[in-house]
Amino acid sequence: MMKKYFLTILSVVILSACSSTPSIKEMTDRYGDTDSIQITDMRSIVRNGVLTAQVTIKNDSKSNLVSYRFKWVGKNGMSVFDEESWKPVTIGKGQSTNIIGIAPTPDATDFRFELNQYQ
Amino acid sequence: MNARKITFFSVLLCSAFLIACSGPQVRYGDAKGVETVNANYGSTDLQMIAESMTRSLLQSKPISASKDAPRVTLAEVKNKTSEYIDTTVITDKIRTQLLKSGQVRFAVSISEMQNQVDELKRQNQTGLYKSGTISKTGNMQGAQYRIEGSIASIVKTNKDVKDVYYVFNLNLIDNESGLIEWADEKEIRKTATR
Repeated sequence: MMKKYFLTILSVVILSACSSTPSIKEMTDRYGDTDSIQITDMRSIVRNGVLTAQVTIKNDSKSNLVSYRFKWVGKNGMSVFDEESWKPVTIGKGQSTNIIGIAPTPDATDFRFELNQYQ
Repeated sequence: MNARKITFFSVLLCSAFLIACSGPQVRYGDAKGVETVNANYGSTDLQMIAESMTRSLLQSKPISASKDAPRVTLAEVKNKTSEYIDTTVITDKIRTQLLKSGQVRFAVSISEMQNQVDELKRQNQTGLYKSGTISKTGNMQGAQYRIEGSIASIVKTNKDVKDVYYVFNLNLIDNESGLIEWADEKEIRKTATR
């Protein structure tokens, strides 16, 4: 009985270790005061051979001056292109918006999302 | 008392002199950062337009479905705004990003054609070059597609607010069929308040 219980726990641990999908928090880098911006969803798809990412953000506080950019990485985790420019996004209190990012090259297999306060 | 006054004014004068003599403070900024000096067309607008257009174009069927990287050329981007905007900077930036992606090849544009012709003439007609090393005439490749577009703006002002709306349009046109194979636009709104 004890052995069966132990084996179940072991298999759960192994399975959770194998699934290495990073969380939204792990895929996001924040700079400055961006606490009022919540990232509610993050997904990606390969469309016409190019990785396309969609990030849903929501503003809980008063209108905030926030900019964003994507970082596109290849299989080995190396950056596949130059750094993108910071793009300002205007989002009112309580408003939610989808940000779409398209990879600059088919070599991109994954992405990171960066949020920054400006001014 | 007088001596203290003199010292005080001397120090004040020296400070004023030093401040006047010290030049402007120079520091390097982030070239990719958000620029909000005024509501006129700026570096952030240029970067956003180029990036948005390039990515959208890369995902378009004529580019993504092509076995070999298609040959494209840059045509004119018309400036329909009231501002001076060097539209070649936008198209050059788009071209650089597309070339770096490796998905497109560019044929020389109309503005670069004279240099291309001059170089071929120099190599073929001057008799200065070894025959085996000459780039021969008649081997240039024509572009399958051309990229052209426009930028327009609506500007509204009152005594406290200046509101600028830019719309940048770009089209990919099949040179043989004349069909517009892809088009996209990028809208930007900027408001400056006193």
